Amino acid sequence: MIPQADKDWLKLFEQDSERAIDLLFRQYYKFLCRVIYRLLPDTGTAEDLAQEVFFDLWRRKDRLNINSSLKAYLRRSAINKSLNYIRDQKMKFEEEGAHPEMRSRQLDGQQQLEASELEQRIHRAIEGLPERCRLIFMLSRFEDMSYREIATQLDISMKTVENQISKALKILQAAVGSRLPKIIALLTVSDFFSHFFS
Amino acid sequence: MMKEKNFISLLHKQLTDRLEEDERANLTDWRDNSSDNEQLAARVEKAWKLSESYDPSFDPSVEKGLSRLKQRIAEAKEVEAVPKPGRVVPLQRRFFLRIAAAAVLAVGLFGIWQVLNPSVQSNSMVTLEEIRSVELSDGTQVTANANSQLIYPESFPSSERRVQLKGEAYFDVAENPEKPFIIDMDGASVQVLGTSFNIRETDTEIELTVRSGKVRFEALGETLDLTAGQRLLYTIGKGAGRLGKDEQLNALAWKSKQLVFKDTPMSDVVRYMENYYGVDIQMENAQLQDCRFNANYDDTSLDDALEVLTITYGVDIRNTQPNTYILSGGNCK
Repeated sequence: MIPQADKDWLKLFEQDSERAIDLLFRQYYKFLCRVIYRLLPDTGTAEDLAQEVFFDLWRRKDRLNINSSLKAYLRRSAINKSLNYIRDQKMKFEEEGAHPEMRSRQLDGQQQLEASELEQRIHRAIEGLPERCRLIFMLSRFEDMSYREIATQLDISMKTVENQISKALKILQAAVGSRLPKIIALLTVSDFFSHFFS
Repeated sequence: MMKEKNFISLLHKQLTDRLEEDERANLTDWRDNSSDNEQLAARVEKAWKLSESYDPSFDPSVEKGLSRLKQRIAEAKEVEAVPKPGRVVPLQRRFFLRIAAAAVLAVGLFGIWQVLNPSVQSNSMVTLEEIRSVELSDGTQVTANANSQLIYPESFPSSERRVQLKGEAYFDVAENPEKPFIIDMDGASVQVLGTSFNIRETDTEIELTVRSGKVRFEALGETLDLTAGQRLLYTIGKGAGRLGKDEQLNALAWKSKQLVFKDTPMSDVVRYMENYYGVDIQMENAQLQDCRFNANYDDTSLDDALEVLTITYGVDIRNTQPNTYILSGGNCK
């Protein structure tokens, strides 16, 4: 039986930590991979870091200190691991532009049906953002982090955070405004890319 | 006059509920100022709203991930009795080892070797200022660092291959699964079947770095198995070990003349440089300890090696007394 409430999870942890981790993995692994992938668009890295979250959970099984919900705890842990990873990779990261895997990826048929044309345009524009710009935007959009938090985590100035978010929104609003989605999509990856990544 | 991007930033603050009261009026004025502004604001709001549904298609295999996790847990359990990386776990002292240690103190290493193995004739290899290599009767290659001592028999008995070490040496042990190779030190021993590894032994600690194969470390009745790339730092006085990694094999620098740092914490970098160059390096700025350093030193002089640190982190280096260098200021960048 899969526990529902967090207190049931914690009880299962005490009784049979490996079973608890097995069940939690099945329930949240994909979710965590995607949370990480939004920040770090590399499937291998996302899987490695999600893996670390669960391995850590196992290592700390006897001294778990979870104040929030279990899902929030796992998500927070995944975000922290991603930010640590980004900090360690900083040198490389600043020299790169948009992630190659991200830029070339196409939405599959099912997703195209689900998202409106306008949504798709926005999503493509997000994927075409320069890597640092996209990351900062993502931290604001999906992790609800303030300028100060982002600046601290990435070890950059608040001004840089503000500029990068403005830059992202400027690019994304252009995707909304255009009546020529194909041209905009092209602009996003080539023209905008070279203009805004400086 | 505020620029357009400042207003976009204000819009973003509004969208994330972080807009200050005095900024609100500013934003409203700007929106009311022209229809272009208002349209831009509306598009930004729409883009923000639409971006919420962004969920990149990525469908990792849960089963694959789970089996990998289970394997890692199984491996971790195998060494659970063993110090975990970065954690210090005290080993329990055993009574008979205390007696053995007392005997070593009283008789001396060489003496006890003679007492325990009266039939075996021992050769002693002492190196003073230079590095020296020797091939043992079983084909094992040993390279001893300066100021080190190795005691070994001319030929090994049939059951085991046993030598004694003081100081530092690199071992490339000839494979023989029938006849374990054992290195005795003061208060600890290392047992292998056929591998290569480095041991640095001082009065207070033993550093064991494994280059290939598997090595069993034994002290005070506890054992610990190490594999390639792992490094154990064992404090003799405390009877406690710290297990870590040295994948670049910097512990072998005295032999290879190479120091390779890949995202290596500065605290480790300094330690390896101290050992290799035989100097004392102090970091006044504690923040530097966690910086991740990348460099490839190949027979590099100390001055050049230090200069790279100066350039990388903007630190000042003072040479206050012979062989002592103090790093101050600087940051990780």
